[in-house]
Amino acid sequence: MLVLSAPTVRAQATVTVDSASSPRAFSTLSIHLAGVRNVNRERLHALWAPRDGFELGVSTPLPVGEIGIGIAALSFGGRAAEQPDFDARLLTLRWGGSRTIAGPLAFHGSAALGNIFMTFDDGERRVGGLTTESELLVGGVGGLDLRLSPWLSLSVESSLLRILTSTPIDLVLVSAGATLGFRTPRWLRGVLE
Amino acid sequence: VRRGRSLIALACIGAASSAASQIPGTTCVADSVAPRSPRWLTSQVVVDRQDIERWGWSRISELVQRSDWSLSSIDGFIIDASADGLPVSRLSTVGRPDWLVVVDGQRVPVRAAGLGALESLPVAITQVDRVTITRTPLIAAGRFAARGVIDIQTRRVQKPTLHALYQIGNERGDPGPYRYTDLRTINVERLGPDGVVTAFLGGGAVDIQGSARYSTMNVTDANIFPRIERISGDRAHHHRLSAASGRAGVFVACGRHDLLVGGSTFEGLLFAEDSARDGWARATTMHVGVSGDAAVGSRYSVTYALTHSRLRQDTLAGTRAAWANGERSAVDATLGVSALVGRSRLDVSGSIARWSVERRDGATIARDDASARAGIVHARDRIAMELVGGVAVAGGRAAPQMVMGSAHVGVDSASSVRLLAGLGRLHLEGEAWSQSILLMQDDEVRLVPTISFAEAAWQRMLPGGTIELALGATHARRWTMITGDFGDATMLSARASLRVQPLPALAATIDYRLTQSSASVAALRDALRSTPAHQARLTVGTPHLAGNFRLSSSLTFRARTEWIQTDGAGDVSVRQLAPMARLDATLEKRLWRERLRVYVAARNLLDREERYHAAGAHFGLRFHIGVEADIR
Repeated sequence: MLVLSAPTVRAQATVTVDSASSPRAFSTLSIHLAGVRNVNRERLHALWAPRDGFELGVSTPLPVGEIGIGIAALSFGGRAAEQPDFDARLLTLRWGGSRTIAGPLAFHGSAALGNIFMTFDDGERRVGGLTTESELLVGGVGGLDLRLSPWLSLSVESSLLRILTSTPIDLVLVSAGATLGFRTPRWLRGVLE
Repeated sequence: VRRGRSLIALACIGAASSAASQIPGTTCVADSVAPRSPRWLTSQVVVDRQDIERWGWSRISELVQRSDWSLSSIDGFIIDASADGLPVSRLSTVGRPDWLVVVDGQRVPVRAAGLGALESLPVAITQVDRVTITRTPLIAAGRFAARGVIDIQTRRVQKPTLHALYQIGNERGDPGPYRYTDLRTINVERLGPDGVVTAFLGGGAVDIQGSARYSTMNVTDANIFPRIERISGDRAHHHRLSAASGRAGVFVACGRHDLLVGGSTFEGLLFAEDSARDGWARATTMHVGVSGDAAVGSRYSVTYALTHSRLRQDTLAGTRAAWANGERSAVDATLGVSALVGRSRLDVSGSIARWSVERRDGATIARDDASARAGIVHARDRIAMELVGGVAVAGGRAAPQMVMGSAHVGVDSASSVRLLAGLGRLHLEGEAWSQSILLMQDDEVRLVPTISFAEAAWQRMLPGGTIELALGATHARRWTMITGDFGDATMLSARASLRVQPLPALAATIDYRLTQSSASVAALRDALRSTPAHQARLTVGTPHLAGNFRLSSSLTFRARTEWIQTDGAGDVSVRQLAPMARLDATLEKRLWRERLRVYVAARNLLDREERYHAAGAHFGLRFHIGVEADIR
């Protein structure tokens, strides 16, 4: 048995696998749960106040780098009656890698591509009969992982995301949470491969 | 997408095309020894199952975007196309389709009352095995197709299979939360969802397939939004298409026999170049047909097709004229016989058709036509030659907007010659086509040469690829609605293609087309400028990356174009469309031992303005996410 540190897109725990070679594609799965806060201020935030949310992600190694998907849930409260509250769900696909800095500390980074789904609580103020909207987003993610055990690590990270609305929206999100790693079940690996 | 690999393609000459569909492992004598028709492959683009998956297409009309045809679309959903560079609308030859669509040997009408209904074909994209898009004139399904053919072959699956596809896409540029502020803009397109489910049954000598599909698109582009608001009012700005299709095939008597059925309903906005004829419409289509081929002994083969198609269009709101409402039905029968005589193959085919249009006001316009043609293909060693001649007679009871109808009878003749020579790694081909109509209108009788075409092509096999060059000239006499008379157009085109595979895991294709045109009348000259003078495409693909991933990308360039526009008052103006450069990339991953495929398709990664009509919607960066299952 050999203990390997699988590279991650998000903070990923170290797991034990049977292979004596380098981490293989889809050999591990990492589930990440974190609290998330929107910390930057730009034009949007003069009209809406962000509220804290949470983020859930899953990642697995590829032959080159790692791939992961994540969903973050945030809400924004309107600062005036004209701007209704809205809930945002940010679904992202990420590809990147990680590098050990020292001991149990590692850095990870990835590029992100995704979509934001917005649901407006706009009552009678519906625009075009719509209460929802979705838009593309692109960005990057970077963070630090602290390995606590072969299967558990803590992580903090920052995401810079640009929402490609007609008037672009930039969001800087910071998150802190934990990642649980485990070997990919045989049946699931058969599907992924 | 690629041009065909072999020098001489299968017969593509309509009713006499040979029994190409067979049970694996069996060979019919008449098919195996028949000389093939010379078909130079610079004139064809072949799209197969692999291409469809690689590019993440979910609708039939997207296939045409990969050909080198000139495209026109106002909303980006209903796409019109021109194979030869002549304008796609307003100036088309009267009384006949611009190009043909053939599904499993059956001609399927796709036009009626201004609606080009590629999406309503009785076939779903998951049923498609191979599409051959030919831009040069030929005879297909017993018809003259002077302006190209889209020939669709459906899949033949040997094991029971369930195939499902779901795709949705999004384009940048929505207002987001700013729609409640002074920064508001209108919503832009949400592309899809598109969903298709197809079940394949049988295997061996019998196969049956059934498919259902649904496509939608949220049309709210800023360029056409005022038109949308004027037409649709409080209706949602959605195109919605629902369709079902099925095919049953049986292989007997050394031939394949297919029953093809399909129906569709489209509801959405129908845009005309002239905005005064925009409408919110519902169009329903129905098609049923049988077709097949069979070998008779070792020297003869027979092909046949009998189809009935119906398209009904109802304008629910808008400004379209009464002409736009009503129903068109067509009955089409074709029979062809091929015989081997020495080293030659002799083809004879004939067809009869009747179509009628019933307007909402009760008036009926009907036309009957009959055509016959004969051809001979002669092959000797490295040289093959094809001679084809044919004649069609058509007459109508009333057709106020169609010259042939008002003449009550017209005679249409066409002839072509093709010569192909293969000299080791070097191949040469020349072909010429001419077509004329004898018009009898009132007391006047006149012969109108409608289209003449000639092309010479050179192909050289390289150790790591192929290079092709083609030079062609087209002369067309076109009826112009603007002037109410015929006008002459001449187009010269040059094409160059280079296909290389520098590495086993990397293949690249470069296609370039140059078109120069002139016309005798200003209206036609202006219309011809909607065809870009330069068009080029670079395609790069990797067969497989590590981890069962595959990446494909293409860069398309199209030169500046000009478009005639007519406003509601009838004033004509010309608007320019800027050059277009579009970069696409698709990343796909296969899962579960090839049963599942997930992909992300990026369109217009450079986010440059992408439009297919000067009055049409513009498309920026957009992404599609899809999942496809193929479970056996």
